[in-house]
Amino acid sequence: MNIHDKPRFSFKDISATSLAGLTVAGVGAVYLFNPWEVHLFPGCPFLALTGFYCPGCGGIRAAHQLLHGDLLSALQLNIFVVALAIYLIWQVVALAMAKVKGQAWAGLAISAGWQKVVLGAMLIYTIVRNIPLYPFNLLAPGSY
Amino acid sequence: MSNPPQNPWGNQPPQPGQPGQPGQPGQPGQPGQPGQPGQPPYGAPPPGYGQPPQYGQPGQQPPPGYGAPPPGYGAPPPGYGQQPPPGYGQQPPPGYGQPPQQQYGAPPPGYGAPPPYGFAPQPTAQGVRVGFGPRFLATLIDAIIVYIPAGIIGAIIGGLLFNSTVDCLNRAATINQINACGTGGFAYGGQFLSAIIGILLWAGYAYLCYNFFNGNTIGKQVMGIKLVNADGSKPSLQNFILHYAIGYFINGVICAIGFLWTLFDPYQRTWGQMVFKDSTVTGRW
Repeated sequence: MNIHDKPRFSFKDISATSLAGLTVAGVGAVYLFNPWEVHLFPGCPFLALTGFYCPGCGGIRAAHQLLHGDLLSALQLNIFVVALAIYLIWQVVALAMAKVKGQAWAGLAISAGWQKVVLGAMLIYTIVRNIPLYPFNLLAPGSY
Repeated sequence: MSNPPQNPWGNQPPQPGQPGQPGQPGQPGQPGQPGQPGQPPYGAPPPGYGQPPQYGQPGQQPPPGYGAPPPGYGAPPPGYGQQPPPGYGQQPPPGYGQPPQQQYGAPPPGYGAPPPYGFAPQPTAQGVRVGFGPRFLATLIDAIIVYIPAGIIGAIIGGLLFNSTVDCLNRAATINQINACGTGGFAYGGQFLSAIIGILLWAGYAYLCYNFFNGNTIGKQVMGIKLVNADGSKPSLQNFILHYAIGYFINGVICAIGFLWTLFDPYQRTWGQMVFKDSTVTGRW
């Protein structure tokens, strides 16, 4: 079969619709339910397998705090979720501006250089937040 | 008689910036001249010389075919990781008015030219690459198919053996709570066992789908997409199984970030695909 077959569905619509639907559903669920009490997702496999905090631990709680306006608690729980929220807000603004100007939106993709930065930062964050000494355990969720 | 040193490019130095001047028609070589076989006619520049490449001049489209990847482009060359082949990175993405640059820091060959942005499917040398939405739905269908028997088996085994420990682990959010979940062996053992069982289930599913669905899993078959190697060929059975067993484990182990990485990657790869160097494109095997 020719590898250049036309796609069967309109993938652009599927991508945009499923992404929008997932985002709305996820944001709504996190806003409504406090993750300290209601568990929306199963436990973190990384934490259970290794006993160490993964880079996402505290993420849902941080998102809940952000949605309720508490930036400081969110930073204490998980820095990456706060950074992701800032990035998404920036991209929404960029999307709106691109639509106004009639240009194409660049998408959520980040360049390979920035990818290395993000992955490296995740690795360092994972190591540092698991150190039980004073300045580092501020990065660990739920330690106070 | 001694010939003056031949300058095969003619006497005139190149004149950059002059658009489109055809080279001077060469003097027809005089056939049968003894002693001078194979020499270009003196003073005749090779055909086409003298025309500065139109690429780079503002407002001009590169001539058709310029910069097109040569056939076979995209096959990882021996010495993977070295300089990209000459000509790579010079193809301006359509619609961009700025001089093309090596974007993304020269990714390894095999991923095609840097893609234009947007949610539309990205054409590459391997085929039309697929973004987040269709892949999410395909993986969702596959996960439902795989985890129904897993859920049944897990419920039976878990209910018999690990009941209270699994509940406790699902509620645990800090290391202290995990340690409080019961005897150390069961606590870690339960999660370890479920991770191993997950890998084995995906491996078995991949094996069945490779043989009975002609290289597509059911979810991908429904969505009309397929998994391909970096050079566009059908993956081998081993690569196929590794992608689903180990690649999906890598994707999912840190809060499923590996799956979401499709959104943030310019080549729309998940973490498993960054490790195993394959892509997902439209079409079926």
